Amino acid sequence: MSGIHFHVNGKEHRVPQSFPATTSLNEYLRESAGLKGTKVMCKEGGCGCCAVTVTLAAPDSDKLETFSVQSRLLRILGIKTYQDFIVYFLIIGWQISTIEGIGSQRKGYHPIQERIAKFNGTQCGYCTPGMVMNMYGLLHQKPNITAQEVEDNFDGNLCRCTGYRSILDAMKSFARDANIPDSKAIDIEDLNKNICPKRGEACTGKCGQSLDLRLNDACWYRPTSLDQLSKVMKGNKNKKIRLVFGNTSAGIYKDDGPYDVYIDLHGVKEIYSYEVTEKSVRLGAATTLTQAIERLKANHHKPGFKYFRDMSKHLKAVANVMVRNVGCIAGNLMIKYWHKEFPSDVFLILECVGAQVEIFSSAFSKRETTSMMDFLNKVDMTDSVLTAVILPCLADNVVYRSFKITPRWQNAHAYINAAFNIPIEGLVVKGRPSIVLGGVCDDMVHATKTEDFLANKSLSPTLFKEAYTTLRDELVPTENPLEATPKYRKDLASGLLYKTYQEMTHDFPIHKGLPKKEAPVLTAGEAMFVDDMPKFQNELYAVFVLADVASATIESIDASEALKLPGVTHFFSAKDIIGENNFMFGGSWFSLAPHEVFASKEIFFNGQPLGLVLAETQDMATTAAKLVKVTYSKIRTPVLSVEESLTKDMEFKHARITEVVGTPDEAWKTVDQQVEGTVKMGSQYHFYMETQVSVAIPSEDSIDVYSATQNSDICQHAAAQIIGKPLNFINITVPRLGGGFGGKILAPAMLTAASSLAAYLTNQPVRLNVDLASCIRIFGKRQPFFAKYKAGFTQEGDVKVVDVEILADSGYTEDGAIYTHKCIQSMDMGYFVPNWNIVGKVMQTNKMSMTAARAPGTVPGALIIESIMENVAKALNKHPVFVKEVNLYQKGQKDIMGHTLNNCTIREIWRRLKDIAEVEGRLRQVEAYNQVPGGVPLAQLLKFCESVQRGHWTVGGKLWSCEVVRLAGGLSHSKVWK
Amino acid sequence: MVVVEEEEEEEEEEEKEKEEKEEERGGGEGGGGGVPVRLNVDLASCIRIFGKRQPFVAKYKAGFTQEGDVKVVDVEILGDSGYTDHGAIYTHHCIHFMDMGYFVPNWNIVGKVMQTNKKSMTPTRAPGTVPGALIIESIMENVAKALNKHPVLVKEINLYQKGQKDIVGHTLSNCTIREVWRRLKDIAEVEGRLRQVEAFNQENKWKKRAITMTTCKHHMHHFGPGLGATVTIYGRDGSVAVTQGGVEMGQGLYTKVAQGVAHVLGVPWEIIKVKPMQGISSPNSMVSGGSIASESAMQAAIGAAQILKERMQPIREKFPDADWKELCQKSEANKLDLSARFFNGHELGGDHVASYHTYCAGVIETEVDILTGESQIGRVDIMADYGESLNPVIDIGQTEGAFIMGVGCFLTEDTKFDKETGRILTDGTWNYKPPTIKDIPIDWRIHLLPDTPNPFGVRSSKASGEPSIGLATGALLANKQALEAARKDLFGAKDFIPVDAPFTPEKALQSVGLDESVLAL
Repeated sequence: MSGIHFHVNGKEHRVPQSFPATTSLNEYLRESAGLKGTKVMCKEGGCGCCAVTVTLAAPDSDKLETFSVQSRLLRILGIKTYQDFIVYFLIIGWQISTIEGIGSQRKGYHPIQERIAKFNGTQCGYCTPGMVMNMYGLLHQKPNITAQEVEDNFDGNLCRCTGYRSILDAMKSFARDANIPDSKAIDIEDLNKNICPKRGEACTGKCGQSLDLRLNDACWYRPTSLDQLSKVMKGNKNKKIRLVFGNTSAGIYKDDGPYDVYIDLHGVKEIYSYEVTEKSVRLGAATTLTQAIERLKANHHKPGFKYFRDMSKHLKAVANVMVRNVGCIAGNLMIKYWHKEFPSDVFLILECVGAQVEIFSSAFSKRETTSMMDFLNKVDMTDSVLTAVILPCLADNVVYRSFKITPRWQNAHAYINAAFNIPIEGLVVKGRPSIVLGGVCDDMVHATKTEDFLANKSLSPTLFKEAYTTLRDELVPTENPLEATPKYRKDLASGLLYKTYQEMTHDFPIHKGLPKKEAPVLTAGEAMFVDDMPKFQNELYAVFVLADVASATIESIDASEALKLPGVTHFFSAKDIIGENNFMFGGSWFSLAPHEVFASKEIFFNGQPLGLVLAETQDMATTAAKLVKVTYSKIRTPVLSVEESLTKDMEFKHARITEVVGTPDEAWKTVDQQVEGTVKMGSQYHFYMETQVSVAIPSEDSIDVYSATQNSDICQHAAAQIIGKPLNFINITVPRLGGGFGGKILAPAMLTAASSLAAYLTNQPVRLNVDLASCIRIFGKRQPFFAKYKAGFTQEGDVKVVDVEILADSGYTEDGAIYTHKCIQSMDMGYFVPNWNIVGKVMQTNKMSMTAARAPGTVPGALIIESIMENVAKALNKHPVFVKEVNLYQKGQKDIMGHTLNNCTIREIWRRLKDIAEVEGRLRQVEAYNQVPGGVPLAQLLKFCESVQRGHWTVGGKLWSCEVVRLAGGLSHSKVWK
Repeated sequence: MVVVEEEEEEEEEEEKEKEEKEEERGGGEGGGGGVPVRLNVDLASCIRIFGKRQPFVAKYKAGFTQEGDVKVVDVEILGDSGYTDHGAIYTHHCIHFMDMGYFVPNWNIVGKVMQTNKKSMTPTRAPGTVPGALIIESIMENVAKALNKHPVLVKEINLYQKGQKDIVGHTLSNCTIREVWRRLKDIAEVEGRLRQVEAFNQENKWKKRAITMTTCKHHMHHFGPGLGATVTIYGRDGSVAVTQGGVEMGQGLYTKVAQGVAHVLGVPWEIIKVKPMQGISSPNSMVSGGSIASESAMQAAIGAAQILKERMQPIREKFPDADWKELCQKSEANKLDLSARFFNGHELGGDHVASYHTYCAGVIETEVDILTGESQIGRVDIMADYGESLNPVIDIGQTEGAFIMGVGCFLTEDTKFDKETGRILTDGTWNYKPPTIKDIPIDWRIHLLPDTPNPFGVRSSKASGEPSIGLATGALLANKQALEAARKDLFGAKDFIPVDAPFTPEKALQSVGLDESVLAL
């Protein structure tokens, strides 16, 4: 036979023969079957807390006998001697009953369990399951038990808390001669519970070998020592030689070469050194960037090397991991050597700290150490090779900061990179600082004038201003069409000096641009997202079954085919719901119409969940969900646009919003001109990288729910409501989100409800992780809309009145009313329009219920008003920038909602931005380029009516802005930490 | 070439093995990085590694009047502290608890903290009461023996009177021990049973019975920072969740916490759930120990619930007829914070820093088989002053549990060490013997002293977890009396058998000193 099988609580269990021979039944029950109700303590049969009952027929009888045993002492496969014996018994139908099998919170407690509770026979409760199972076995043997028999049969069960009296009273209350109040004999139906009805490119490892290949037009060498290298180089004098290690520079400088001779340096053993002393750290030339990062990290805690922390961070921004894994530091330096314009991060940070390089000259067969600058400018490397980099120990008072500013965060060359090495005591610079800049111009390495200026100065705002001016004066970025503008690079480089200055002088940590507190664990993948929770014992994976039609009536749902698949355990649909089939609730800050978790009868959109398939693996569940057969009647053509919805009169009329500001009717009489137009916008999927997920785990008398939600409250409510339990039945935990963007405000409640229901019905942990395609099908997105507008304005372009009618695609529910309302309230953006007449119509379609998506009001609102402004400009034949400028809010004006904008900064922002971005000049340039009117619209303006604080400060004309409240990603832990 | 290929394969295998090993170790490259670690120490290792109750040897000398009024006691204690000096704490405790229910005006006590090659000894339920009770009850029994009086009568003379100063210097203004004793003696029919025991012993040579009474005065005081509780009401359905700093270990702490919250909020007990203790919401908690965690946690929960009640009061006034759920919904709608935390720094809601004594007394009757040393506890009556018990069901459970733990300590739970290696030999259920079901009294009655509210306790209560363990000294002393009765029968001896706990059947039998001469066949 393959494996051992037996029954636990009426369910067949199979154990492979590969199971360790010493596995006890207790270990199996607790560790494999997940039946942790059976406890374990002494593991030697002396305490009784591992008691279970066994039901079997003796070999010579058909009569089943049940008795309690110490599960710890039974071996599943037995020690060798007993193996055959045990197997023999198992195959004739051992049946194990555990504490879970005889009664539970869910199925109702067994009378023995009830009796112990009632007689206060539990204190810590650890011995209790054993006590119960012992009594359970006893009552099978002696249904008419006497008090004495009870007393006589509890010698194997230890209790440390109660002093036993209460337990004995409880047990004796089953005795026929009991002198105990509330005694009652066991009902025969409470015995034999849950007995099975049936009865029962791979490394060649040859790096160490020298190689000498002649190809058509080049030679390949792989020397194994500097000595051999020297011979190869000497033997190929006057030929074009290429030293090769990671060969990653070929990705940047594709046109270098061809060469006559290629020398692979992988075999040269002398270039692999790694030495750490108190004074220096020596990294062999062959140290890859990845190794360098690791080695720097490994030493950053040592005195004098704390700058390694920043340096290793900087190196992580070099290229990408594939490059860093093969590219070596010497290779990077040699790119810089041959291409002076190359903004080598490695060179930058090494030079900044005064590192040295060791160079082997083949001509003289000797190694010499030299400074980075001499290496770059003086040493002839044609017949030499770098062998090592030596990083010095820096004094404790040195502030080292380095930056790499890139168009995107990763795998990008720097606009500017910069490294600052400033020895400082208090606020006094001790000696000459080192400021190294990359990306400015070919021959600029050090900002020498600024270094000179700062030497031995005392830092102050005034001094900084001067230093700043000095730096700007010496920065002369070269023009290069591929690079950012010289001005930007100049601003950037000088801005970095400011950042460093700030870091040296500013109060820590408030107002500091700190990295996210949890950033390290996020980068390391150590952060625990909901689906990173370890798999629980007996966990089931859940997958939604989705409607394949958009508008119909369900006739039948047949999951029988799905349930036939091995490993598929359950299917739940609307009819299995114990409590309410609704994951919304009223009475909170938003009041939303009920949303069914599983469609009970009517289908409103294609993708509406109909039920949940549970299986032992995700794949099984996914496969099975497709096998659930659903039949529909009254299948209708779906309504998929607001225009169709309007034609079919599907507006939620009671949800219509009318907003009148000022006196639009009168305003219309006074305006010089008017324009009309339409604005149309589609939807947007939130595209949170972590899809919707919820894990529900039954625990004690609760369910622990882990949800990726922005709104734990509604999730807790939904999870409780669907099983008809109070809120304190649900313990909800939200570890963090892999993005939310509004998409995890309402939708996760559907998941917590569904997973809570499934966990409750199965009494097993349930993981519901909805895949991308299903997320897109099921969950609400940004609300599409169609708007018609009419705007009246003066000859100067001053907009006096706007009429707008919005048709908002709300999906199948009227939730869209909220976002339509938000859109209307956000429609003024940065512009003062004194008179408005807005009608928002909430249109039903056969789509998912639309939901909040990052700035649900601002996005449509901005699109409408900016379109209107552009249209007005067009009508006046003016540039939109000028029309918009006319309309900007002034301090003290009332906005569309009636708020008086006393602290409005929009004109200040506009003025500075327009200046700093050289808008006027660029408008002329654009016009010249196009030879047609039109051009670059100034970036959209934002006026948040929420009290979102925005800090602004300027640095030499460059505007820096730091958004203090992050709208996506939830509450940052960094802020709480502060 | 062939050789080279073989080498390659070997290297690959080595590489593979290395990888496999790394995988076994959990690798270092898994997404999460960390590997969960479960450390579950088995019984035998627990017994070998961890500290237990401190053993001791004490020598005493007691001076007393003809009436048996003990006037002075000298004691020298050698406390087995294990390899560290932690034992000093428990020795100190022992000294502070040595008076129990008896007033001795003069003491001269020396406690020596002795190092041994054992694990560092540690608190074990009532670390002061257990040795203290054993010493003073032994002294009282010895005095009685010397006066040829029954110990019950001698002890009675020495009981504390209200207003006397105890061994620590506390004035016992609210001492109830005499009331406890009087009522217990009456309800347990001690006088009549003393005669019955005497009659039984005259009729039985190899079975002897004895009855004795013991007392306990257990000083309850609050230590450490205190306990905090957070009470949370879910606005939409009014269900309540509590998390607090006390540890539920069987003593019913969660139950008492829920009672307190239900009381303050005026809601059914059933709608309150007490959730597991978590450090992030209940920081800086004192240790759950010393019997007082339950009341401290309850008071903290009461404090938090009161904050909520006050917060909701304006809503209550606005909607006087709203039921609880409606009230909660209205409160939520009015943006009330329906979660409150209160930290009970041990003011316990009153003016006094909690410091009081729990008093109890026991009547213990045992029967000893003089030929085997086995014994059976026939009847035990315990009367305890728990003030107005917070939960009599739980407090009775504590009383019973503690008493039986004491029975184990004084009668059965012996530890033995290998003389050569120093390894503990009694490291499992087959050689270390806590009581089982038949070690408990055949007839066992717990009585709570009525009508004695405690002005210094939470809701007039007293703590119950530890005191009654000391009463179990009576089981040892009664056994000893029974054995002394046998020795009197057999040898005409009137000596006082030295007290040596655990007084196992082995020691009991040895103390009789049976020899062939008395075994009349």
